Amino acid sequence: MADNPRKSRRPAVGSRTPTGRPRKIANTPVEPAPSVVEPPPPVVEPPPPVVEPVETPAPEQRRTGAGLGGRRTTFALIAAVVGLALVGAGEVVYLVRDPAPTVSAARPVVTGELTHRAAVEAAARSTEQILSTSYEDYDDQVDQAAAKMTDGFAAEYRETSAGIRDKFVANKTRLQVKAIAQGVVQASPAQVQALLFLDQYVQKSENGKPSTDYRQYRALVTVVHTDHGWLVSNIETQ
Amino acid sequence: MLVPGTRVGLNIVLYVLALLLACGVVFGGVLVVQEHRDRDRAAGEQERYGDVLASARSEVEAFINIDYRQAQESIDAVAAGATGKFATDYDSRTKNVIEVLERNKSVMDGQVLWAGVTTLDPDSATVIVATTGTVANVSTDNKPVARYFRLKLDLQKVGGAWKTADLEFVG
Repeated sequence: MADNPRKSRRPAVGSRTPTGRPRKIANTPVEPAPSVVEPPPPVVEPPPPVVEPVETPAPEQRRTGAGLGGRRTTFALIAAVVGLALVGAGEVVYLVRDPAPTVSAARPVVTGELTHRAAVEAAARSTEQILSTSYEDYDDQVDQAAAKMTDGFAAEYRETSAGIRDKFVANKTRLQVKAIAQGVVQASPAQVQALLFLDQYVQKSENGKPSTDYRQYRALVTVVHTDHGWLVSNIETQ
Repeated sequence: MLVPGTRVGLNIVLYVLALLLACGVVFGGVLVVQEHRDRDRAAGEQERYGDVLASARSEVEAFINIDYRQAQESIDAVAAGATGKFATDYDSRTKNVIEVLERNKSVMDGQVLWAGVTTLDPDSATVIVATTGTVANVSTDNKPVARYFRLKLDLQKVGGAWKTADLEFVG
């Protein structure tokens, strides 16, 4: 017995054969003992089917491998999410970012055509109204003209108008100004400069003598975009 | 450490998120391409204003800077920026113009004060120009007299360059 601590005195018989010598039984012919103990024939198992070697991940590998539940998959997906999020953020920044080109000699007009056309048209009509006036309703026309201007330019205009009012009314002066051509010089979303060709007709009476005058000149008119539309912020004439 | 079931769930969530982000990125990419094209087109149009104004200014500068002592060079400078009817007319009158310049000892000196675009197409434009300057000739006793012009130019794009097809004084 393997569990018996005592050492067996029986000599070991054929360590390869667990069976001992057959016992001699009376009247039983004794079979000659085989000279060599033949080992039992090996059990021939059918050859395993030829299978392509497949690495079967161990349970731990399965958790860390590339399967749906694998750690590598998790990392790859996180990397993909981060990468896509970065690309998306870049796209959003590009779309939201306003390049806001500045006016320069190479790009004097950085607005759409509708915008600067509206601004130039406003500059022309406002300038006609500002420069056309009559002694008959001088003060009203000054008020109406000032409404077409920015506050700063309106203050200058009112000061100038007040300075010439008495002479203008005394001479019964009528000024009629017409813009016969207009073009955009510079344009940004906030400010547009327009070149106007102006024809001015003057009627007045000096010392009781009526006179008329006609003059051609040019004006560079600056309009700025406000909540009240395009307002004149400067008129420069030559 | 995540148990396998939880990790599968997490991966599915990440996969769906990545899929949604990929769709968003593709959509955003289309918008970016469209926006890029729009900005390129806008930049081209904006630069066209600069090109047209530069050509008009150059032609007018040549037109109002004429010296009878260098009559041919003065005429050539104008002709270089001319095309169409304006070029033909100017060329046909060159001989007479030179004679008039030399006879009157005319010297015109000026610069463009302001220039503005009235209309603009990809291959044609109208520009108005205001100039300042002086003119001196026999009739002014060769003394410079102030002379201001209001000019209107029709320009055409010829071989990639803007040239003046017509030039007239705005009276």
